Amino acid sequence: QDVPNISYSGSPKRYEISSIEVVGIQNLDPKMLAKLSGLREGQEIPVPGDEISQAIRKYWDQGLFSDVKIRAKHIEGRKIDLEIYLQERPRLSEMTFTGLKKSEVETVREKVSMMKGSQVTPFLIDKAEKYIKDYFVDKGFYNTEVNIIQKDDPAKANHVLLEINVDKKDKVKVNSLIFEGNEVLTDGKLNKAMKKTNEKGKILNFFRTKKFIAEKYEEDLTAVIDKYNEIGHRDARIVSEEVTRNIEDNTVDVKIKIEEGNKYYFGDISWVGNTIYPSDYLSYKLRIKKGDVFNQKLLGERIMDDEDAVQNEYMDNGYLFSNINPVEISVKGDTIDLEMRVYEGQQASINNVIIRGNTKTHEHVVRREIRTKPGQLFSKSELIRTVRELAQLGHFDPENISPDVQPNQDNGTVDLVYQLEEKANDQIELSGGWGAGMFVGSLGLKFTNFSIRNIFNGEAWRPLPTGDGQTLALRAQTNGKYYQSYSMSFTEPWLGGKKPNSLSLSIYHSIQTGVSSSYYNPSYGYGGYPGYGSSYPGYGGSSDITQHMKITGASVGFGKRLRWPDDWFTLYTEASYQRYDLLDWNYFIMQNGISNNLNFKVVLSRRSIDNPIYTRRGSDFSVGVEFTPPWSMFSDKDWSNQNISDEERYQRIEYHKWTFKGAVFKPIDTAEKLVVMGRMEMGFLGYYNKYLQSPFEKFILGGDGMSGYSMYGSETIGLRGYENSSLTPYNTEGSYDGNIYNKLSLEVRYPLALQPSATVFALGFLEAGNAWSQYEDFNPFELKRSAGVGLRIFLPIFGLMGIDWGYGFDDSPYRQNAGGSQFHFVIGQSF
Amino acid sequence: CSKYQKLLKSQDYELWYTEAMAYYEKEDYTRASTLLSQLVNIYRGTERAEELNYVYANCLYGLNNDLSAGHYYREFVKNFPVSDKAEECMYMSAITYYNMSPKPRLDQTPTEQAIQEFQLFINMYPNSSRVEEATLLMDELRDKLVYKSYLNAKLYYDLGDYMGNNYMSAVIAAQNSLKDFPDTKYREELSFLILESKYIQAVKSVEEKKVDRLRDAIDEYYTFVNEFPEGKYKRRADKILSDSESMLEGYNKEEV
Repeated sequence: QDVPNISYSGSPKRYEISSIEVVGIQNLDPKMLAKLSGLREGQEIPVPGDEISQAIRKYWDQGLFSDVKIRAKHIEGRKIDLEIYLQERPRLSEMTFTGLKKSEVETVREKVSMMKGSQVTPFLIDKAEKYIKDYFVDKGFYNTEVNIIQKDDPAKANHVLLEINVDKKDKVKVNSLIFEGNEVLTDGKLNKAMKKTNEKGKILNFFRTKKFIAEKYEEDLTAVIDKYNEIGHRDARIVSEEVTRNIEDNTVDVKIKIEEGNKYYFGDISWVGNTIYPSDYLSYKLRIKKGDVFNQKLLGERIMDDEDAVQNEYMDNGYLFSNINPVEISVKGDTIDLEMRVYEGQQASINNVIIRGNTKTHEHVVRREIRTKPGQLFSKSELIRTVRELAQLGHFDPENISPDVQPNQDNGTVDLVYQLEEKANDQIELSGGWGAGMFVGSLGLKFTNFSIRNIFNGEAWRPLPTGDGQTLALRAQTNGKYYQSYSMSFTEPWLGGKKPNSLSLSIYHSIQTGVSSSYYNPSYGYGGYPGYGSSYPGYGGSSDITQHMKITGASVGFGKRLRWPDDWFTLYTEASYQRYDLLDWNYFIMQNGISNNLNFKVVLSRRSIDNPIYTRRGSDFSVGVEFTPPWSMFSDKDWSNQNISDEERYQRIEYHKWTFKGAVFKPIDTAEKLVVMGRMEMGFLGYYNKYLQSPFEKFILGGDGMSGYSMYGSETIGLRGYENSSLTPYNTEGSYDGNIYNKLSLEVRYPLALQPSATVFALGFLEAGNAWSQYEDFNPFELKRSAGVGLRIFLPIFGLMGIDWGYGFDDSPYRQNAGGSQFHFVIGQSF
Repeated sequence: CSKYQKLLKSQDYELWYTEAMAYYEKEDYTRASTLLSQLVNIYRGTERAEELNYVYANCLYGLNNDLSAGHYYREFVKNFPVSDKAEECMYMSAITYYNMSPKPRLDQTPTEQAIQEFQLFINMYPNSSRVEEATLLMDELRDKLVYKSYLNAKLYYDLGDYMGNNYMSAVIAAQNSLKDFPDTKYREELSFLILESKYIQAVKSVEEKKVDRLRDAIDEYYTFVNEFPEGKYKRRADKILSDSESMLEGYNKEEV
């Protein structure tokens, strides 16, 4: 065919397109395909030129053709006739799978990613086959066979059906694992180093996977060498390794031959290139001495990865571009001398701090928490701390906060981008049930990212005004017959927007009416309604409205972050008032009258935990005192007089109450999954006048620690393995009288899922605690002990829920059989 | 309803096509889009592809699904650049971003995308009748960014010396804001914020930095009054100048 020759040398000539013809297609529309090129008749284009290449790319992008060519069919003067040659591919109309479970089909379908209507090429089929095979081999189905049959679709021209047959066969397991040439490390230790390749039929490997997966096996070989490197055997290598397949029982035998090499030690470590910090100081920070066992991994960690690594000295001081490169300068015998080549670079100061991904939370709520600010020198540890603190806010997914450092070496500045991902943070609690012959229900709503200034702005109600990081909680609870309570609280974490001084307001009201006498049961002592999960002790009693107790209260709190002794401290002060209105209330010390409790509270706490839900490290301490004015000192009445009525005696309650709580978290494995938590708490309720001891504000110990409704201002302290409130002493009148308590717990936690949609962890615990009525009886070593296991689930909308099983080893002096095997349900976070 | 269910079960794409178009005409976008979501794949590369893409994008837009509608408008522009609907689709693509642009206090990524898309549109179709509206909308979007960047600088100023020197951050943030948006309507506020922050920073400085920072504040004063000789902050600026000068005098005497 006589086709004009296009010269690719020299400058391109411009032509006007006189016609476009599409050839080579069978089912598609040529006119429409011509349009697809982006070229049109009458257009002037350079040949050769970009327009043609772009047109070709556009055809390829369609994914419909296996061959695309654009030719000049005829050139006459400045006119050009184009011919576009396209070769169609058959297209997919349906994929069917055999031999797979439904869930597997979905995964595989996604992996193969061939859509209805897309073209089917031999390459794609091969790729799909390989994909599916690899997918199952990765899962240990080493013998998977995949067979893809392509059939013409009788219903549609140029369409095909794909039948994908998968035969997974059985998983391949490891029959034996043999090491040769190892002297320094035992078989057991090497086996342990191999995380995913383990022999079957061994008790030690009970919880470990026995599947043979080639990819994991390769990783495990590296792990073996790493293990040697850690103990100074720097030259250790695998001489040979052999995997033998046993067809009959579908297993493999693995034989690994190792050459351990010599053990090496660190020699002299010298520093070059450092001008800011003296070599001695850097050596001190490195914490590796001459004569230590040579360990490449440790060296890397000490230079770069550790929290107090040497390079962080630079990184925290703006030297973002700094770099430390350890070079082995000589090996004498078993000693390796190192030269640390330091490149310091220039200091980078922060220019822009950019926040992305806040689709719900207002920017200032985030920005005010960020410690890396424009104008400051770059600091890696401040960056890390900021990420931690943003996670603490609770508005963002803590596992998904990624800071992006964008240095600009030209002017020595750096932009920081905090990429966030909002998560649902509001909580709703609606529970209702039929218990003890009556309906018990509660409704709680907690909005943690409220915006009160938008409360009258109709547009902001989508569905609620959000974004200012305020908390609004509403709660109503009733059992329909003799108890109702309502409460509302509001917290603004940054009052005035300039300092993180928090303001909290809360009001509450509850009404409780008496029940018929069958309800009264002195052994229960009426201080404690067992909280959630247990039945109410109101055995079908009918309400008696001639008796009641009404509690109304309000409080105002003010919290302040401190800068001294360090900036993890906060100080919280609160003034609160409660009014108890009792009428014929023969369940309590005092039966009639009005009792007023005006108190002030000061709490100093230090909280440095890294993640509020699954805490890995950090600590949380608080010490607090709550007190009322010493009213009795202003009156000269002789309170020892027995004839003073309770009504008068308790008209103004007086007490002082001291509490201490502390918890420490620490990860104990290298993957930082297994976490141990130690916790200690104690409380003491004191009085100003012996004859005016407060009947309210007691400590109630034992059980799940849930205060379903806290009556008489009492504080419920959980102690698992015992019945609710079973470890609380009584006074002579049969009311709970816990005036002093202490409690210790040790918990080990392991996460099962750390997704934002659900955080699940298992825990095991040891606990001990006791409560006393009289200070004289207090003995911190006379504790009731328990141990148990539990599970916690955090769902963003429901908060934290869990179940614990505990076994109480000791007897309660106050209640029979209160220990032993106990289940506890937990809702919400306790301390 | 049963007719629609039956239709979904059938594999008669020809019928799907006519029905989808009918639903689209009737503005029953929910049903139309269910059918169209399949049809756009089935009829790719045929003479119907262009129409289906256009109609599907409009359906999604009608369903207020700006995210997906935007995607299909852009697909249309990419695949059918010479179509007479390309201009409309390009414009609509920008509009979908515009609709997704949130309040200034939130992440402004969609706002930036909308501005970029409108700009592309204006470059591509400078004579379009839609250019006027596009320009207006772009101004509205840019105002959001301007306001956000002003709030950013203002926040650092308000934080004062909480956790370090935020005045320095306020100065840098305000300077960046002026650099990014030279014609900002907060120009005077930002300029004064820089002046005031520099002054406060100087007052709160350690002794050895004080003189330099006071001088810097005074320089800043002259820049400020030069631009806003009769501005609303003039009086306060004058006060800063006189205070700074008298403080400097004290130091100068000491030196002598």
